[in-house]
Amino acid sequence: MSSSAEIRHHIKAVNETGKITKAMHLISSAKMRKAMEAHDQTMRYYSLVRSNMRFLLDNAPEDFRSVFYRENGARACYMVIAGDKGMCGGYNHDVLKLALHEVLDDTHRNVRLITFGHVATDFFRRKGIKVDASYLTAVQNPSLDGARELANEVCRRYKKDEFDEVFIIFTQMLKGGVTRPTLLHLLPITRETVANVQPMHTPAAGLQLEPDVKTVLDSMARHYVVGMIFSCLVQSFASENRARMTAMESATRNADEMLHKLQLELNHARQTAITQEITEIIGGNPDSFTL
Amino acid sequence: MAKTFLLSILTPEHEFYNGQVEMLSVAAADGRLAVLPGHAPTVVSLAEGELAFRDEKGDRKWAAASDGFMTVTQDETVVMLQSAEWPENIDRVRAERAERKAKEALLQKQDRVSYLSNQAMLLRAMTRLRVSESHRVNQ
Repeated sequence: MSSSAEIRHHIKAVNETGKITKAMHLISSAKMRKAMEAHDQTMRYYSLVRSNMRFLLDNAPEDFRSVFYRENGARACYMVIAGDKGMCGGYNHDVLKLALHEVLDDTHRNVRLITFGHVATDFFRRKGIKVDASYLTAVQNPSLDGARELANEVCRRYKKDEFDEVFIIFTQMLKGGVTRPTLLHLLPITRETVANVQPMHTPAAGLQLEPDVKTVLDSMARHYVVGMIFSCLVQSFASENRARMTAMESATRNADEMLHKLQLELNHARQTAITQEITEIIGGNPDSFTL
Repeated sequence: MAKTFLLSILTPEHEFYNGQVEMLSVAAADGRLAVLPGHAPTVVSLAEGELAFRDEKGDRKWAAASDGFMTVTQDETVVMLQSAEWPENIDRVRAERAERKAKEALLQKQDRVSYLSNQAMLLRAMTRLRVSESHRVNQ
């Protein structure tokens, strides 16, 4: 049994750790709520972009092809979104497991990898897989401007014909706070992409297009890519904070339990010490009494 | 025939405008374009530029608009933009700084991509300055 001084020290340490985990829990839950509110607001807009795209594709000729609307191919680009740090339960592990599975899958001859967050970058480096580009700040504070820049870069490279398909691997935030690692097929945009989207307007006969269908759909595709990238970043961010929230909540609970146990132990130790002292006094050397 | 039509202007951040208007004028990819009630169904790709409309009370309103697209149908006209600003909300100091920066950058020798992005930045700054200058306050 440890001495009461040792136990007191232990209690102090656990107490302090508990304070930290409690603070982290509060921070994560605030961050998550804020991110999801902004996300819902923004996604209303982008779901309209999607339904507009459906409307146009419905009106476009059957064999319509353009830069963003073409066939799948053998060269893929994967964008993997994970966190910048740990302490968030299985969040990083789950999404990276899916990512590794997809990247090593041999359906694509040529794979490019773009990672978001330190954990993702380090993970692939350790596995000896070449990372073509990594963005480190985007996951901490997902912004629409950041998403726009990224989308421009992706669209530019896609137009230069550097790859045929673009995927995003991120953690989806479902209703009720459930999170799930997901693979999203970003480009090319096919009729299947918008198949389950409600068209924005009823089909119009004799729809005019200014200047032409290709330009309009290109402009929409750009909006769409920005929206999707933003959504994935925010959902990942919210999922990360959700995971951290749960992890920190259980850590705080653990700390409380531990404190309770330690307190009992401390009482016990103190009592033992007192009892021992009394026993020593009573049963001790009578010579030690100096009256 | 109806004298007004329903216009909604949307950006990712918020619903910029929603209401009945008599006339709408936008900067299309190849020149300015006006929409009046009863316009044929059209989808238009929009360029960076000034957006103007006259609401049901006959008041004219202006805004600086980013690129985007517009869908005109029988029931409504929806304008979807990356960003939109009323003249009174435009930060002139910031716009002027952006203009100066873009102009300076354009003088440097650079690759095509940054040339294009600087050009876009200059266009955006100039649009914002023009809108805020000519229509300080919406009538």
